[in-house]
Amino acid sequence: MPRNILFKLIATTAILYGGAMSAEDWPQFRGLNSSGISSSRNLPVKFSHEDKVLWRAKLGDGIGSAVIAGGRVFNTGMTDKEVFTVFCHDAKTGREFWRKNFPTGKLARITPPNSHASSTPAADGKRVYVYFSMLGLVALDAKTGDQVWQHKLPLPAYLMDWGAGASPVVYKDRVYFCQDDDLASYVMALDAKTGKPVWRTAREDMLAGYATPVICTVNNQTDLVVAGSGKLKGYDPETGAERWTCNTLLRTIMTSPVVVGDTIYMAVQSYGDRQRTLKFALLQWLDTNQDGRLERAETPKEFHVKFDRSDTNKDKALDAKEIETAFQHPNNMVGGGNTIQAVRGGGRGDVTRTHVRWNIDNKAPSNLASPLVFNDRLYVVKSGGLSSCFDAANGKTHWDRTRLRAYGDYYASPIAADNKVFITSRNGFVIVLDGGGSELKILAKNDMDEEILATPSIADSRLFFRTRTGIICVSNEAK
Amino acid sequence: MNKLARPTLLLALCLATTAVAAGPVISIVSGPKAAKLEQMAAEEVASQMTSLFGAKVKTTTKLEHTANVVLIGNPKTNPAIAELMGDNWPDLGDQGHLLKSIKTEHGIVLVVGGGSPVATYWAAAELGHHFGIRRLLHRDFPPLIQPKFSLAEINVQLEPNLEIRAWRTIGAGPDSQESWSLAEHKLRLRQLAKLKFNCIVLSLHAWQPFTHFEHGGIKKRTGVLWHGKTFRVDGETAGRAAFGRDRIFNNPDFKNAKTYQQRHEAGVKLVQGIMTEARSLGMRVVLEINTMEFPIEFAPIFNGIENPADAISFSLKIGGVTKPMREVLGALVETRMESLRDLYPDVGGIAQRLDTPRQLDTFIMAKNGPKMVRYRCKPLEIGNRIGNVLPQFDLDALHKATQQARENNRNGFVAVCRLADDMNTPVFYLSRAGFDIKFTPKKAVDALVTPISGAGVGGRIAIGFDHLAKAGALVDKHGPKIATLHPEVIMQHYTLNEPVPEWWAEAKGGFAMAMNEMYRANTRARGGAREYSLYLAKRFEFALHYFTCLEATRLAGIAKAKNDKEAQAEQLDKAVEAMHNALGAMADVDRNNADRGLIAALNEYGFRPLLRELEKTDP
Repeated sequence: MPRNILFKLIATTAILYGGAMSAEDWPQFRGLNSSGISSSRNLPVKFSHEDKVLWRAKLGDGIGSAVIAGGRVFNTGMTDKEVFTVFCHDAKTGREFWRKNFPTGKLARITPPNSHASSTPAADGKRVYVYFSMLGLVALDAKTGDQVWQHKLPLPAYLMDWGAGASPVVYKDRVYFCQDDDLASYVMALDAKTGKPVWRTAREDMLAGYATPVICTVNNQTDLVVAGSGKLKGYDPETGAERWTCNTLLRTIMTSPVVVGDTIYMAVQSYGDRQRTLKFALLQWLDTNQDGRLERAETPKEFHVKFDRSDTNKDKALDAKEIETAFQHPNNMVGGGNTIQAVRGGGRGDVTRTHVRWNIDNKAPSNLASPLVFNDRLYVVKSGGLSSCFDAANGKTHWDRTRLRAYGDYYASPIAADNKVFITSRNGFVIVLDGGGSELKILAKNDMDEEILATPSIADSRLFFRTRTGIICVSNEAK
Repeated sequence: MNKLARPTLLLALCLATTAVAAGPVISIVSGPKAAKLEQMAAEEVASQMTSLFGAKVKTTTKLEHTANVVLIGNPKTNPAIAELMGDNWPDLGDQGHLLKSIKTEHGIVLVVGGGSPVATYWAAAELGHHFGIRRLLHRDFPPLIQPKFSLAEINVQLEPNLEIRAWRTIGAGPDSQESWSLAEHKLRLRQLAKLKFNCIVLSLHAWQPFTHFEHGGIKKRTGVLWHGKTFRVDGETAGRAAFGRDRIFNNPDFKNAKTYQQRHEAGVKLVQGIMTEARSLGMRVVLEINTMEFPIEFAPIFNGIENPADAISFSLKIGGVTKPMREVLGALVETRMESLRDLYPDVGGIAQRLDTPRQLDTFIMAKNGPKMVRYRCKPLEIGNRIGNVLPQFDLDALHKATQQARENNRNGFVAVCRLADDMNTPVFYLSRAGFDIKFTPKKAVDALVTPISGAGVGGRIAIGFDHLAKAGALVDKHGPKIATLHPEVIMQHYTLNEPVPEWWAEAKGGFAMAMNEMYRANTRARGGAREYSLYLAKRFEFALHYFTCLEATRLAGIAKAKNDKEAQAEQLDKAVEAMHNALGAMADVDRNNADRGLIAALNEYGFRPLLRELEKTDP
């Protein structure tokens, strides 16, 4: 990685997180500013569930990533049917410092393979911040696990019952959280110390999505950037006011943006073609009797108010015309497709025509795994172990949909450090690529022997793999 | 607080607590010498009342005149029923059972009874059915909408129209119930008992570890599962999540059994465990063997038997038995039968299995009191034929076969299938149809699905089943062995050098449409038994990917024959991915060890060989 970019990452970390952390921490989903990049060195290339394992621990079912701050690893998991647990382990030894159990009560509907413990925490060295659907946002003391504050939030609602999965981030003593569901999307800021809400901005034109907010600073303008249905938006982190919008995204956004310098990168695959607005998905999957209309009984009860509002002739059914804008905002009738794009940050207003550096439409991106921008190259991986790589400056293809020979789904996003790119399959294989060149070179295929959906984490020359049921820490320190 | 106020406050709290509790108070009365199954019936009713209504239940043998009383048994076993009903007790057969509400001066009495203890247990299960509980093969599902509590106006009286309702188990193959541990068998037996199955047929093979015999100086020494095959499930394994940290696929009850003797002991323990559980549930137990099948070590007894070097068993054909062989054969068969009787003295009957393509009746020779009786039962292949692993069933065909069994005076049926958890709907149909001649497949889907999944779901499921039946009919007609597990099941298509059959696309399309309907139904079943439709959706998805794999394998083979390396690699890549997706779909919902056996076997027979061929194409 170019030294100037690495320096910017370290400097940003110092500002963001204060003295309790170090630049090699991994404080939120995909690490520093969700970049997926760590400054760690001396990472193992060849390892497995039996080789180079420094420690491992059981955590219960979960797919949120591990976060590391101040030498501590924080994870979440379902340790019983209705018990959500936050764990704190020593990052070096795996010794459990504390765990905090939360009875959840009856849980919301989710669709497999989602887990109720799906969100990745955020940590700033002083506290760890977790989101859980039935609890809202909770802050725990990083040292003791004592609860500092809790802010309850409305249960998100999804037309297809996907279930919650958004993750908080911390920036300058604020916790930011974006909840894009199909009912009442919003982004909000809370005081990190007290949990007091600072601002909340509705995102009425959004559909369900799971992108994590990122920070982009250009020419002294710092934006909280959120990717959502159809639109990439920049907000003022102080007030929540929307500063700019770039309307180039697709309908379903499950991947997160990556910021390098003044550029925001997105890679998205959303089912169907550009004409496939939400209406078609609803008629395919929710119209149970396939009569071309959506009846009230066919929609989840959480959506009945929206339903009734759109049912203009009050016949308890939405015809094709009524369905169009019943749940999808008329100002955001976006469809599916593929896109990989680079957008210049720091804009104002509608920057759709002015700030897109490049935008390619090819079948490379995943609907689930976020892109990685490392050493001026943009990496994506999709289902089947198809990896692609593009020049970050102009989108030129280095390689396109080449098999990594690790088949199956890819929920984890690629991460990088030490001139290596780590790509993790659901089936538990970790492919290590040479991140130093523009040719695909596989250095190792490592077997972690367990299902992995969570994006792995890197801190202090250690790799942390959150498997479906536990965590495995891999390092050259292991004997 | 003054002294008077405190008790008053306590009383107020108690009343408040009582008001909050809200469940009815029910007294469940069994006879003082109630048989075990009648006690189980009482427990079943108690469990239902508690879980459905939050009832406060008291089980007793003394009648107490509370507002809600349930009497368990019949006039001979429960004096309270004799007193209440007297001559009004109907003339029930051994399998007849009833639910009858009777208004008394004290309140409502519900009689849950039958002509025998097991029939009384079925009556208890029937009460759960009345209130909307539905039994799947792996667990019960409560109704989606809580029913209103009332023991009044319930009047059900049932007699069977098919005397033997049997379920065949064990069998052979990693994808069969041969892979089930005793715990899994017990779970399913309990569900089958609630579904009023009354007979278990344990289908055993000569090379398995469930029997031992010695004859003519030769000791049986072959006792293996899955015809002696081993299946690795670590490393490069598609659907690996299904196996946890296991390295080798195993039947948990045989995990530590390394020698013949250890496997035999584990095998006998398993069979005896199944038999004990089945009998405790009122089921007749029958052992089924093929008397013409023997472990390989007995081949020398029959001169001139040709066997491949790695065979572990051999079978004689009926027509191939010469006159000199008949005496030898007869003696060996008698030795086998004697060994079965020694090992399993309490077995209720022995049935002969003839491994022929035609579905011949299963003749169950069974003890009925002091007599040996022969029951002629129709084997109902409720799933697919010849044990292929595609999800297949045709409810209309099953309905016709059941009607024919009655018309042809069969004593009953033996339900036969490969992957049991595909079969919840056919099993439910048989469970109801066995007592109701008018019960139809359409009713079966609605009656099973709607109470536990909600309105609107059953309709899509039924449409999905229609697509499935059509796809299955194509498979039965053109390729019934297309998915029967054996080492060449996939790779034979790589070497055939023949075009892709046209019917594959149509069958694949049928499975795809069936899958879509299950996903549609699954989406609609909010808060309901989504497990039911999700399992089927994934199974149909498995079938879709399976055919995709076969297509690509064929095309890869054709490309190879033409020396078109690029096309060969491209198609092999597609085949590998499709097989991975197929097994991933199975792993998403695997519900029993036979499901996992399927995944393990197809890794060995499909995924890894294809991957090896693909790797050979690397430059």
